[in-house]
Amino acid sequence: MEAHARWVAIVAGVVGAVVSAAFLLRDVVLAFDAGTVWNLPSWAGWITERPGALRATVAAVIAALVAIACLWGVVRLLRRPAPPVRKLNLGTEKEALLVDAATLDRFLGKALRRHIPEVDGAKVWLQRDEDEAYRARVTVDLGAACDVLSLHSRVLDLIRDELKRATGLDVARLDLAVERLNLRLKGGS
Amino acid sequence: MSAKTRVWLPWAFLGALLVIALVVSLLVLAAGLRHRDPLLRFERDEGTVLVRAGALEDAIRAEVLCDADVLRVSPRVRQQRRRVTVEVEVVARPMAEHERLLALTQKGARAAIIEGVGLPEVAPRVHVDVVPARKVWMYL
Repeated sequence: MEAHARWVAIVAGVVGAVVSAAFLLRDVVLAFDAGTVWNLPSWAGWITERPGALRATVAAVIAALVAIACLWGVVRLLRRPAPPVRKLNLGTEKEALLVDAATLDRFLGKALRRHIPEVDGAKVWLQRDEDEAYRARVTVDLGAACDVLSLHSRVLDLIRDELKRATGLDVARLDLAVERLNLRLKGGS
Repeated sequence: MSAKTRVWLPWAFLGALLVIALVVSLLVLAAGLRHRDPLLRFERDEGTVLVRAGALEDAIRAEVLCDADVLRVSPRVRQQRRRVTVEVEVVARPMAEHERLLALTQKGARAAIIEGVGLPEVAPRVHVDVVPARKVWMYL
């Protein structure tokens, strides 16, 4: 999906840049020297010719819709994960107890490295879903072979356990990203 | 409003629109060209597992490059409709045994994917190119 979106963005970007640069150049040249003859291509003439402005209006609306669709696609292509939680309020209704979430993130990352031997390095971010539930985003570097699909439940169990003991909070979901593999396998040569 | 201003207004308006169109097009192009290592995505009941394709490709490369006959390895791991596909291109020294390298690369790629990270069964597509002596310099 992402590969297709990337190709659509490249084609739309090249076509849009070439066409708009050519028209811009023509606009500038004609503005400064009225004697210059620079005819529009035939398809542009079909759009702008009389009678009425119907074709031009339809073309403008279609171009605007295509531009909006491209921008929407690009925003989706470039979107980043939800921002991490900065402060956690562990207090009651009467009194607030604010905890810096980055400290907790580091604590959880350290716990992962200590309790799961396959994990070489780990970074943890707590995020908040739209339904106010907590979600953990974890990136790991693996130093030994392991089943990443079962690693997901091991990491989730550990984070749940550590977070519950430290703060009483629960994590509903976990996004586990494997960034690097430093493997020594026996399957190859 | 003077006659001169009236003449300039449509040019300026059209020019502004074209500049906006050019900038938007270049932004769209830049977003498309931005290099990002693809991710393999596996949905779980309580979240997602993402594996960077480049990490798997590095693991395959490290496995296959251990063989002395291998000059260059170009693995490509992608996900198409939830299935992981692996393609490996190997460039080998002159006189290297084609069949042995084929088997070794398949074994190494499967080891990295299945044994290394426990992903579902894959059948790597391997292409081994044993280069003639006069072309070896290109890979050294």
